[in-house]
Amino acid sequence: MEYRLKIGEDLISFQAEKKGDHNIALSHDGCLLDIEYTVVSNHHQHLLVNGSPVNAYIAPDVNGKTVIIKGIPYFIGDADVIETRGRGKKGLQAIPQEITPPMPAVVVRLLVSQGDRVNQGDKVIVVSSMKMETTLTAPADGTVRAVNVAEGDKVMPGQILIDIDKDEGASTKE
Amino acid sequence: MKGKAIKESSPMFTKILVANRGEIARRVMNTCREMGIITVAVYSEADRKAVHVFKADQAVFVGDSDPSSSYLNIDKIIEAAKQTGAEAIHPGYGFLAENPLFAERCEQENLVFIGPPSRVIRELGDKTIARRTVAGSGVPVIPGMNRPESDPETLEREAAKIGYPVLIKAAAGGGGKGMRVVTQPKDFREACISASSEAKSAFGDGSIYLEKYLSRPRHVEFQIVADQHGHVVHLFERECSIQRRHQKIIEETPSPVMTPALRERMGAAAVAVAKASGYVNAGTVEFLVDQGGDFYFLEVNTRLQVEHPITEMITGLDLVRIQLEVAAGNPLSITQENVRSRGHAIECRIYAEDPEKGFYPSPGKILYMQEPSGPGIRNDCGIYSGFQVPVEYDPILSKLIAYAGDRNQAIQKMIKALEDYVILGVKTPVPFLIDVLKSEAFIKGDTFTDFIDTHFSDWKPNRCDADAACAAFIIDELSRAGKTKAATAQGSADQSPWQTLGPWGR
Repeated sequence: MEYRLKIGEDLISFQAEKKGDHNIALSHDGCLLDIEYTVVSNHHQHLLVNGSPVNAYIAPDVNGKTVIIKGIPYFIGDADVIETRGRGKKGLQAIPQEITPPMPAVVVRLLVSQGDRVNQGDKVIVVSSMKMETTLTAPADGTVRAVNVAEGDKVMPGQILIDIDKDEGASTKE
Repeated sequence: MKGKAIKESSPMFTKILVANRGEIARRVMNTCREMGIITVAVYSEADRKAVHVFKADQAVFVGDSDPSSSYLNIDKIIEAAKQTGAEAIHPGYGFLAENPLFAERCEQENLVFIGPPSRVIRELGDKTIARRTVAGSGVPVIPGMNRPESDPETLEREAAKIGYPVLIKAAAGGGGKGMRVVTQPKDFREACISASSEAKSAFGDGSIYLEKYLSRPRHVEFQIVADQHGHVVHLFERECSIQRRHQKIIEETPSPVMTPALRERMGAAAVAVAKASGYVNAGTVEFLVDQGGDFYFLEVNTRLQVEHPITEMITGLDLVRIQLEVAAGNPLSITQENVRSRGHAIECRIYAEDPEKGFYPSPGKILYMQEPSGPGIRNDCGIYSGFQVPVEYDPILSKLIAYAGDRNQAIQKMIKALEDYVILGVKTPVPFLIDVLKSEAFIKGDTFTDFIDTHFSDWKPNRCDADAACAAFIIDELSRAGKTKAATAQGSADQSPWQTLGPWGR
């Protein structure tokens, strides 16, 4: 079997061959891994990786799975699944195209109402997560089509808080 | 009648309300239970399943998740105490702990506030009054103003007199709110306006004042305890220089900078501050220590500190027990002469936050956790596997404390404990803390308040077990695929949406 895994920015293709109930052979880029394993629970595996013991703790997360080994988290996704789920979901650095909170949060203040004109970068809503306030801004010049939340609402990443109808050719400023 | 040999003592409380949540509420309740005191918890909507509710003898629902409707609502907390017949209230830290109106209200309602008198909280809470009080007792304060000022021209004149760089601070301040460093005069007015408006929104009071800005100081604080009979004892220092966003994340005691002579002088200064302010109960006197080893008074925290456990480790004392004894009216059972410090203790704060993204908050559900253990390891923990970490409150999950014979051993013990600490479901600073503790600068004790900016500004963990992690991923896929066939229809209440999305592989 082949697994194409995305770990951080790297994409690694693994060839996997099951050798027994508790043994699997993995290879990638000429590197061979003989893994003996015990699945202790849904969240804990005890591995012997080429003979060296490793405790790996694992849980599903938004883009795949998180694996913790010796206190260090590894965020691993199935590259094919990530690709089919659509591109454009970049990190925080890219200017977001939608007004959505970066983490689960509570709406603290709405700074615009339906019909308001906004310019790119204008502050439109303040959300708070664990006592830290974050101000979200308009991704482009345009008009507020709808405000989908009220102050005090709990909101999640991916949820569109405010819809903005972008002006024609809105990415350029007049 | 009592015989003369028997020390006169006031009766201990039979029931205490803990007006806080999470790890600190649990920690306070632990001592109460040891002392046979009945505990009352309060909780909000978001905290129905919080650990402090389960650990209390009684729990009272006080309102909505928003802190102002629950943990900050004085009327509701007082009512909960009355309704349950609690005689005293322990405020923990944060929320109402340093609110003089709350302490005053307790006094009026005949409830014992486990902390200093409201007058002391009020006076020390205003940083400029605190500076005046302390300067009067002969303890060095950072050069600067002793009164808040709003007139921009007067402020500008004062800034010139103090000399740039200057630090603008909020009189009602704390937690870095309303604080601005100004390095040149042309930026001064704008900084004053923004500092004042931030202070206004954070504390409801926009008063600001100026202090000389010290570059690369150390943050060193002294724990004090004072009884109602005029005895004040300091319990040595805590070094808290490792901070992000002006919030401490690693604390240790003793401080690597401390010498016996400096400790004696700073300890005496801390006691002098406590006496000058009429302090009662446990408190912390914070100082900055500059590169030349001179120290300056910063402020007094009129509460039990987050980092109090490290002091407990090196002294063998239970600070909550002392707080309760003092609040009940008993004299301190310790003296400055018989308090001893032994070994070295370090605390790491485990927040729900992402150290790879500027320590952004990371609330969520704890899917799995495994706490470290072993000799010298203490974990003051407010979460459990399955707990939904609320977005409404401070992101602290737990405090991991390591205690050993000396600093190097304590560092090694902490690294091992962090490596063993598993929290899945939210991001935590555990990998960041490991790297800080392993860094040369930390090991050398070069800990200044700019430590993280200087050494760890663009930090990423060294992910050297990527192969093993990928193997775990693949094995998880295989074992889930096997299980799904075996038990497809079996729903489970504690599954997260990510689990119910099904296997990712082919």
